[in-house]
Amino acid sequence: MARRFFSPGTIAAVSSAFKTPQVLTSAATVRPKIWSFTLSTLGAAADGVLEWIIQRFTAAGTTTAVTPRNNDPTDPSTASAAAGTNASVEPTYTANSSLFDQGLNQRATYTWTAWTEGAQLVAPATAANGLGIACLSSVAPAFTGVAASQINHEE
Amino acid sequence: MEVSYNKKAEGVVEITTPFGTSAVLKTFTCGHCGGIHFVEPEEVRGSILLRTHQAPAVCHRCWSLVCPQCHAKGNCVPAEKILIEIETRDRFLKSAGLAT
Repeated sequence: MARRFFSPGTIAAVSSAFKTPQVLTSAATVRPKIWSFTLSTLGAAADGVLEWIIQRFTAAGTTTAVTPRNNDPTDPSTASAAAGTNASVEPTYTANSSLFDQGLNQRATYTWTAWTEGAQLVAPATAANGLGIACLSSVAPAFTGVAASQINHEE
Repeated sequence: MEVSYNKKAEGVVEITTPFGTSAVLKTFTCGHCGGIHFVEPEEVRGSILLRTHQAPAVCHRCWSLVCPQCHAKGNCVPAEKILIEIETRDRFLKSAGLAT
């Protein structure tokens, strides 16, 4: 049975360039699989549009570390994958590796869940590689508030 | 959500609006690029079914659902193969002392 974890992330100020609220960095010993994620904003309600992507990276950049928490509070195990939030140095994303690319109204909350084994987003068992969530707001009215995401992963 | 279209690729998206409503859409995970894509929903007017779910393309080599972009390439490069290539490259670089 896979162990399941969740980790939250935010980006302090969305801009017209992609910024990364959250990364999930793999390890050489495990293939972390994202089975659910949530995208939302925390700023004042308006009708800005954010473009969200999930993309593979080969270097995690610089983020604030977040310890993935166990979905099952009685599970004493810790995650092998590492999570990070609010990137100050963007990850090195792999070109043409986008697993998700959608524009979302900032009022909307978006939740994706894999229903079946095999539908998850899988990162390779390679250190420093992983999956990052990034967003931008390039269309008026621009959104410059806080964007939030949550990754649920299993390994 | 009663129709099952692939036991290995099914997902669901729920978009919640600030007005108390939500839209639920089916997704599938491409067996080649690993990306999330929408399944075209069925179209019903009144009690008449105008169009059923538009099934995604199927790769006839690995028998997985594939997105239109991967389908247009016409080759079969499963997501599993991409992951193995990344991992193999990393192991080789480490064995050669070129990666930490």
